[in-house]
Amino acid sequence: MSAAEASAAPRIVTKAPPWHTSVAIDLLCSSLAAGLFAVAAIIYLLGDDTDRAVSRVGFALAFPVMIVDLVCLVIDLGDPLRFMNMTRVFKPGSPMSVGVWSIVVFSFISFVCFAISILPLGGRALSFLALGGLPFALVVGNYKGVLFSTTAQPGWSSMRWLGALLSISAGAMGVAVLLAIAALADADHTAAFLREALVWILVLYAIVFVALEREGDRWTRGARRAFPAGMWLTLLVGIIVPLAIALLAPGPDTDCTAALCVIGGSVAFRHVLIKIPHRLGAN
Amino acid sequence: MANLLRDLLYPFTRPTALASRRPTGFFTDTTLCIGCKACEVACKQWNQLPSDGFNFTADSYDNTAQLSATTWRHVTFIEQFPRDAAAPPSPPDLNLDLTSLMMEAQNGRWLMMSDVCKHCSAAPCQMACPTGAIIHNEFNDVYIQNDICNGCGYCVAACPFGVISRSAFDGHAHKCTLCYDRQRDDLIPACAKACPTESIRFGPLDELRAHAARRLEEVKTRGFKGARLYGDRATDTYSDLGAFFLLLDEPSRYGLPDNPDTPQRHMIADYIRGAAGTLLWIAILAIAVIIHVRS
Amino acid sequence: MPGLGASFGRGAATTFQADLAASDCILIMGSNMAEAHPVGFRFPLEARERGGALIHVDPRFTRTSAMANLYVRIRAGSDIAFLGGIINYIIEHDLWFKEYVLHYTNASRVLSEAFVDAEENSGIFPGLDPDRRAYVKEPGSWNYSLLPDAIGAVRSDRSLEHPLCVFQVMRRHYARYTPEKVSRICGCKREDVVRVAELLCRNSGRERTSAIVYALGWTQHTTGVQMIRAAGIIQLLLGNMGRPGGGIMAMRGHCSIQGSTDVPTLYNLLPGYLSHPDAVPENATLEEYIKHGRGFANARNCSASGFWLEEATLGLWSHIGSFIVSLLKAWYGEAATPDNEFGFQWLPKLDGDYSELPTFFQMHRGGVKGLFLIGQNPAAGAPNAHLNRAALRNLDWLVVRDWFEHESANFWYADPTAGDPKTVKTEVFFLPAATNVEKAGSFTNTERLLQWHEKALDPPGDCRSDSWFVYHLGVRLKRLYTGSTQERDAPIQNLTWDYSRLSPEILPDGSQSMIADEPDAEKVLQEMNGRRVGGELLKAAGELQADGSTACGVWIYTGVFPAEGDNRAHSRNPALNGATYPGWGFAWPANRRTLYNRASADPAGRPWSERKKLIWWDEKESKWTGFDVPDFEVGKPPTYRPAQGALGMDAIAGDAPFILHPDGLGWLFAPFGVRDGPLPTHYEPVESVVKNLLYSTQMNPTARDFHADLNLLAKEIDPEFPCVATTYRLTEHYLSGPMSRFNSWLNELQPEMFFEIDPELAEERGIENGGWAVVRSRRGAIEARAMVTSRMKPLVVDGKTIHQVGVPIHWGYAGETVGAMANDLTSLVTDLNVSMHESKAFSVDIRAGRLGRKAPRAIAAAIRPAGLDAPIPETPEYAQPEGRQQRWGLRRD
Repeated sequence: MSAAEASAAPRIVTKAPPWHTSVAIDLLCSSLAAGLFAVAAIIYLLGDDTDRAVSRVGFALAFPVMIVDLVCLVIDLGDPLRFMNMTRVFKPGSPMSVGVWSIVVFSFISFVCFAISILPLGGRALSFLALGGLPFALVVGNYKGVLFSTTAQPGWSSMRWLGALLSISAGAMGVAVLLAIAALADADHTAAFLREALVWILVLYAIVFVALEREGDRWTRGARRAFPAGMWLTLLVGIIVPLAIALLAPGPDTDCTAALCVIGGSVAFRHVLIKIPHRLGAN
Repeated sequence: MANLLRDLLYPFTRPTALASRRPTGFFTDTTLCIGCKACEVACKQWNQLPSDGFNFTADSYDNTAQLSATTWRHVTFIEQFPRDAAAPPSPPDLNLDLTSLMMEAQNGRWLMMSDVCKHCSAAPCQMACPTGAIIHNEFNDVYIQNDICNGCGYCVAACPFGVISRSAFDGHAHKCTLCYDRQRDDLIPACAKACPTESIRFGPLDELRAHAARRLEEVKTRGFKGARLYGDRATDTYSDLGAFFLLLDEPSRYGLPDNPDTPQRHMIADYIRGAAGTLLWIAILAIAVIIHVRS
Repeated sequence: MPGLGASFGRGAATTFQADLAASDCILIMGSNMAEAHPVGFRFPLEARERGGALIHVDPRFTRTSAMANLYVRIRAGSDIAFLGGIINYIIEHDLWFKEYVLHYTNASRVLSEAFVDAEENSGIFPGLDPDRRAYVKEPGSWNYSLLPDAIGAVRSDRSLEHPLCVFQVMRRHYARYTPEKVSRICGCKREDVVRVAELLCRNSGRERTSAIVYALGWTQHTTGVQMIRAAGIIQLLLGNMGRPGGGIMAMRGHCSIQGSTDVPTLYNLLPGYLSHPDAVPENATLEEYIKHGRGFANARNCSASGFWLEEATLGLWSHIGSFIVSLLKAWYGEAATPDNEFGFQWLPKLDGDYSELPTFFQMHRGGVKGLFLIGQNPAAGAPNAHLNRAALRNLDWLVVRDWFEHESANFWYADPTAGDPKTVKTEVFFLPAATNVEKAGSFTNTERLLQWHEKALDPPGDCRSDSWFVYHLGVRLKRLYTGSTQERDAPIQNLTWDYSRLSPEILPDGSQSMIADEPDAEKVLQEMNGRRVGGELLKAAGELQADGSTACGVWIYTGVFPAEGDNRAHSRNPALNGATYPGWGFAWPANRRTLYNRASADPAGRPWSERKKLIWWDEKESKWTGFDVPDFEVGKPPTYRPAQGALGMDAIAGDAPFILHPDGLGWLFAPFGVRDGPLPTHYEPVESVVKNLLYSTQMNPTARDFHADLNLLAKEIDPEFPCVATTYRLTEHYLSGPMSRFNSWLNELQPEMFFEIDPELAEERGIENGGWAVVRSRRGAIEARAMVTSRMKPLVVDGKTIHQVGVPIHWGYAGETVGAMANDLTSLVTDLNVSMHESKAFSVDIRAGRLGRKAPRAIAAAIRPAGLDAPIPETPEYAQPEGRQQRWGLRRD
């Protein structure tokens, strides 16, 4: 190729943000924590006492996962010592600002819930906190997708349903983990309805996943060709296998496997997501 | 310890807001660019930026390749010579009219452009920045306050032109400051000062736009093919640019997006879609719980 | 230089760069102005923007071509053919500016019967001695037909019909340079030759003017001087000399190179273009030297020349006596008296050619013991660099003064093409030099403009300026020689040598310089300007005397320092005065911006047109006036006609603009001044890939080569080297690299050596864009990356397809980036006029692959910029809004 032709070749001009593994882990952890908390909150508010016992475990798990998430976020910053700068302003026009503040509030609330859960303390307080923390948890589960789609990156910028997908993924993970916990704790009734919910949520997950697959620009399709393994993992392991398990072989023995599959699929998807702009050759 | 406390509290201090000045910007007229790269060197020297490494790209005379945290001006070279085209037939008469000569000359041409941060009126990087480090300063130029930026990298993802990146030296995002420090001393930016042919023009934006409109007409009548302005006014999907250009071909030939999109346009709708997805799965779960409790 | 000197009288650019903005048409040829002179290029671009035509004729499509209205590709080395085609077109179509040519040129002068043009003799002029390779037989055969009446009286025919008049001789000479023939030689289209000619013609005349811009693309040939002469002929025929927007802009290649020939650093000149005396009877005494004048030096090597003796008696050079005596008084002060010929015998007399190329040739044969190398890098920058490095290895001692340890300073251990450093016996001293901002002084640039630059800061450490070095060397030499009674030590003993400062320099920031013994550069400039001995500074060269009452270092600079404290080189007034900028610096001579500007007015003294007026005769005040300092005697009316037997300036008529010529005319035919022919004649380069289609004489018969194993030449039309190579600059670097390849900001712009080739050649040889390639000449082979580009195209020359290979000159083995040296390919051949080499056209071959040799090693970066987290130095704090935040423990590489 001569110099002339090299200059005329079409190219991606945007730069990929410097987000790698720690952001992928953050994606996973924030979704997982938000999902756990939200599911736990709904169960706590609407369910009976056995259910509440399960959801207390959910609260107890959410906060430690958030710690991991926070650590990853701080590591990922170019200047970790300046994490506090994020709280200098609140800009609702910036999904990252929305995310930071919702994480701050959510972390606080989930800490209190965590504390209350492991020390067997008052139920009313927990109800209030669960109700109050629920919207924040939902925002935490939601905002990352919008953060990615509100960029100029090839692939991300055309994924209009990414926020919905990540939110649903969070919900699926929350339900799946609590299902496993319910199974391990022999809370069969809780496990039963959780299994039902999981099935329908996975169906919803599949629908939105396929919709996301179909939309997207030429760059995304290129990425998908570059990531066949990742995308298949997500679909198969993350959605189809647990769906099959929940439908065909429901039971306490398979719940853990299903939960692991859901989480595994979510990990795969977030890994692919982070890498899309890098793989496409943005600098 | 006192240092630590001071540093933690520093970002929350607010300086006094400065009085607004006449908005300034760049008009880059690529018909006058001779590709000398004085702009690149002047910018590096004024801002004491390190080199980005020595990489021979064989991409015409462009070994800089891109803007980055340490390269704030970048000259692109686009060679447009029909490879195997037979030599154009000799004109029947001598064709000495300068306009037709120029049009004929454009059959084999070498386009050159000095790329820079566009200083967009509605800048996606500024909207995206969660710390408030990126602002429009009193000259309405987009400026990254280096002492606030914490290197989250969101601006990097948001810029449709690929201008910003995060530096490996200090972990912060950097880009063209439109020589904010020089402007405050009533000097013109280093690149505009160094440009020998005034391809880079600096001044009040309204004056630049008026000049650019006249220049476009002039250039068209002179035989420059494909002349157009880029960024002088807002489009359906993007605001106008504080640093705008006169180009001689499709923007994508120069490495610029043909139809830049403001990412934040989709934000509200994306939130709504996300909320819809959320509500759906919440509903599923809630229904499942309620049914269970009822039974 | 001699090309312009022979045509017009002074060997310097005839106009100034800003004047190009006033041109209606500019031909840029043998120059890549946008890349090599980017700041000056704003003016041709302005001309284009005002509706002028920009034409670029060049072997490569460069950044200059990208700006032009018309680009014509020609084969490197075929320039005289192209220009001859234009001359042919002008004459045959009767498009020359008749009134101008008739009055202001020697078109009407009749030549002697002894003259036989090259047209009738296979491209050779009368008087060639093929063994000596010089025109030294048939003395005076290139002369005019002289009348016996008086000195300088020449037969002429104003009807221009006499078969031996210059006009008819020229017409016959260029008759064979038809556009068809020329296009076959150059590899361009016939129409393009005609188009360039037509554009120039339509933009010349009373109302319009055209300019020609050239640079090293013309000078670096064995026929370079004649290329410039051809441009001179075109500009005289079209009446563009001495007019605003006209003239010939010689673009010299360094900020002060004009100064280095004015003052000079050339071995065969004394300051102000006086010739250095030769070791012959005609220069044995001061009286003989003055009598034979300046032209003698030329005539010695070219006795076929005519009319040279008249230069000593007619025109401005008749004052040569006052120039040389004033120079000697400046150098030897009180020791120069009428009794000892003002010290004339203390000047060394030349007995050979000691210019750079022959000197290094001698050096490589072991003939030179020691060398001072000041701001020069022959190990990479000189033609046939291999031979130059071998030459350096033969020295006993070498002193290098430069900014960085470049190829000529570290050749003894870093040359990848040489053997074991232990075998090199040269003792090398490296004395670091100050940069231009670390010393005060002046530049004299290509438009004869002296601009003073101030010292901004002290150089670091032991670095010292070149003035400091030379001055203190002189002081020590004088000390060494005090008390000696040997006659040969008298020149050093008697040199006036006091340039010491009265008080240390104060720098712009108010502090005192740490270098207490820096000489006072303004004292030097004052000496150059000249003063009455023991009295006041001179205001004009007209005040110089031959009786020893004036002392002047450089007579062409007189006027730059007309009074104490009035350093005109320092003035920076940008006001435009009609057509010139007289308040910016000082242009020699006497601040004239456009030379020969008498020609901007018609023979009666009125401007040729209102649009193109520059100076004119003011009848009321009886003087010449206008927008420029008249290059003419201010009070001489246009009607003045010299009496019979008039001498000096009285011999110049009121309508003869070229006052340094004895007849005051512009020379289409040059009876003297250039030693390889009075009319430009197309010869092929010494290494060429085609035969000369115009004459049976293949190459310049006076071109010299130097026979050595390291300097072999390709055979005529050598099939082993079928491609034409041409060397050139890039904007991003400077010469062989000492001033640019130690700077990261420049290195990242062009980090590697590369070749430019066309896609057809690349495909033929299997070379990929960005891949490695080896280019080979008869001298050596080098490897570099290849840039395959359609800006290069093959040419069809006489039915054969010729490929050209572009070879940039900027790399070497010392620096932050390193690479192969272009000059390992070039050869040591020179022309007879200025010993200029031929690196713009020579024969090579190219293949894909590498050489398999060990590569040179780059040094670590020499200049490290402060980086992002340090404050911008020297900017006051309020102008650094980033803030002074203290930082600790940040992520850092």
